[in-house]
Amino acid sequence: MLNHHTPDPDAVPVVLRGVSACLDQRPIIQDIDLTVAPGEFVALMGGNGSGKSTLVRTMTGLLPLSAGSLDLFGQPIEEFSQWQRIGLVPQRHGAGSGVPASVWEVVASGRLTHRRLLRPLTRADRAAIDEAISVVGLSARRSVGVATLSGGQQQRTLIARALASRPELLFLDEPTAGVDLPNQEVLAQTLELLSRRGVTIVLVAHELGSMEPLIDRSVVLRGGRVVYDGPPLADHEVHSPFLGEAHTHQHHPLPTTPPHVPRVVSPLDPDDHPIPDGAS
Amino acid sequence: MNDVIALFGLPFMQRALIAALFTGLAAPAVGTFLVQRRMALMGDGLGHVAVTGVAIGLVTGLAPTWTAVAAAVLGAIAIELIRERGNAGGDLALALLFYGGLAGGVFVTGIGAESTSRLQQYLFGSITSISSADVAVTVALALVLLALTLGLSPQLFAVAHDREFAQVSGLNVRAYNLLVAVLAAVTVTVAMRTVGLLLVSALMVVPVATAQQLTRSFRATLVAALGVGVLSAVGGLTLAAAASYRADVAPGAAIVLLSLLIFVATWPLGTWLRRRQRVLAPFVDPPPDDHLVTEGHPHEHGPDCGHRAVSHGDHVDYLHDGQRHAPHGEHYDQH
Repeated sequence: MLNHHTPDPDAVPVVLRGVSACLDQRPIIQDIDLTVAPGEFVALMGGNGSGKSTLVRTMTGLLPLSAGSLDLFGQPIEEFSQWQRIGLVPQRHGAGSGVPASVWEVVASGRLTHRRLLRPLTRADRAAIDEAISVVGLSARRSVGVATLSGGQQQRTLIARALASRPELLFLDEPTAGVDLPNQEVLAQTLELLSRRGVTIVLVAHELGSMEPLIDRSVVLRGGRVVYDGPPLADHEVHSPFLGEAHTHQHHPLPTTPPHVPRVVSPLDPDDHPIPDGAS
Repeated sequence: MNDVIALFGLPFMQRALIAALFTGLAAPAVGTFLVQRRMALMGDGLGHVAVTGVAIGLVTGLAPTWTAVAAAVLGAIAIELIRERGNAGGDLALALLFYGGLAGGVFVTGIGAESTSRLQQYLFGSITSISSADVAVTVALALVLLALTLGLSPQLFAVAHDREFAQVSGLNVRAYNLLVAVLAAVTVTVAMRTVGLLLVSALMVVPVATAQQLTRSFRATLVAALGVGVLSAVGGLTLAAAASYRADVAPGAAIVLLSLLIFVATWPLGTWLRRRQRVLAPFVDPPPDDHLVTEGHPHEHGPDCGHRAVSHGDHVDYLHDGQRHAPHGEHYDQH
C-alpha cells in the first residue's frame, strides 16, 4: 500500500512556489512562495479568512493546487509518498464519531503509516503510541473514551495521534483555539520538546500566547497573500492593520518635507493661525 | 421447551439457525463502521435498492440473491459518489435511493406479472424456507464480510474517524469508503433472507447502539455488537419457533424486536456506567511526561561503542547525535 522511497534526510521539508488554491472556484490563497527549512518552527498567522488554514490544507495535499508547485521533502506533492514523515493536527471538529473510541485507539490510528496491511501492531508501534500519549500527559486516561474528555484534552489526543508516527514535519491547525491556559501550557511544552528534537513545525494560529517564545519565524497572511515573512512577531504586531503595508520597510524622511508647523484649524475660521512658540 | 428442542432437530430449522448465527455476526460487524461514520440508515437505503434487484431476479428468472447483490452494490457506489462530490448530503443521497429502490421493485414486479407475495419473502425474510444452497452462500459471504471488516479495522476506523487525517497518513480514503459501501450492500443481501430487506438495517445498527452504551473503546463496541447480534438473531429465531405452536410469529420481526428489547434493557446499565466513570475520572491530569524513548537503535551503548560517556546522576549517558542517551530497560531514554 505504501510506496517507500529512500528518504533523503537533508531534503527541505516544504517548498512552495507561486502557489494558489481555490475553494468552490473562489481563489483563497494566491501566489504564495514559502520555504520551510529543516528544524524550523514557523508560525503561520493572520485573521479569520486570511487563508492560513487553506494554506495548511494545501501543504498537506488535502486541497489541490490551482497554480504553482509544492515539494515536500524534495518530492512534488503529486508523487509524494513519504507520508510517515508528516504529521497533521487538524482543527478539532465538533461532530466526532458515532461509536466510542478510546484515547489509545485514536492515537494508534496515527501509527498506520508505519504499519503493513493485515499485520498486528509491533512492539515498536506500541512503544511509539504509548510515548505519544505520555508526552501529552494523557497516560492516566489512555483507555477513556475521547468523547468524554474536555476540549483541551481532545486537542492533546489529536496531537498525540500526529506524534505516534514520529513525524519530521508537523502541521498544527489552530491547536490553541478554544483551549484553556493549562492545556495551552502542555501544548507549548510538547512543541518545545519536539522542536528540540529537530522536528520541523508549521503552526497555524490566530494568537500565539504561550508559544510565542518558541517560534523562529512568523509568516503573516492577509487576503490570501503573504504580507510578512521574517523574524517572530508579537501577537499585537501581527494584527496591526499596517503590517505588510508600511512597517516592513525602513522609514526615511522625504527630502522635500516642509518643516512641521503646528496650526490651529477651525472650520469657523477661514484663515489658520500658527500656534506661537511656547503656547500649548 | 421439549417442543422447541424437537423443532431444532428438523433440518429446515437447523439451516435457519446457521443462517441466523452468521447473519447475526456479519450485520453488526459492518454496521459498526456505518454507525461510526454516522450513516446508520445506509443499510436501510441499500435494502430498498435491493428490492429492485430482487424484483428483476424474480421477473427474469435469474437468482434473486445475486441480482439483489448487484443492485445494492451499484446503489452503494452511487451513494458514496454523491456523498464524495458533495452535491447532496449523505442523508439526501440515501433518501433518493430509498424511494427509487422500493418504487422500482414494486413496479418491476407488477410489469413482470409476478405476485407480490414472492417479493414479500424478501421484504420481511423467510428464514425457515431457506435452502441448503442459500445457507452455503450466506455463510460464505458472512465469512468474507467478517474477515474484511476485522482484518482492515485499523484502516476502516481511521478513515471513518477522521477522513483528512487518514488521507495525510497516505491511506486511499476513497477506496476504503467504497469498500465500506460495498460491504454494506453485501450485508444487506446476506441478511435479506433472515430478517428481510425492510428490517435488515435494524440488525446492522441496533446491536451497535446497544453495545456503545456499555463500552468506551471502538474494539469493545465492535466485539459487543457481534455478541448482541448473535444473541438477537439466534434468540429471536428460537422465540419465534417456541411461539409457533400457538401463534404465527415471523422470525424476522422477532429477531428485530428482541434486539430492541436488549437495547432497552441495557439502557439503565449504560446510564449507571457513564455516571460511575464521571465520578471515578481523575479531577486533575498528571503533568506530562517528558520521558522520551529514542527511535530504533542500531547498537547498544557501552564503554566500547565510540560515543562519549557522560556521568549523569546515578547513571551514565552516551552522547549520540547531539542527544544524551541513557540505557533504560530495552530502550534508551533521551534527555
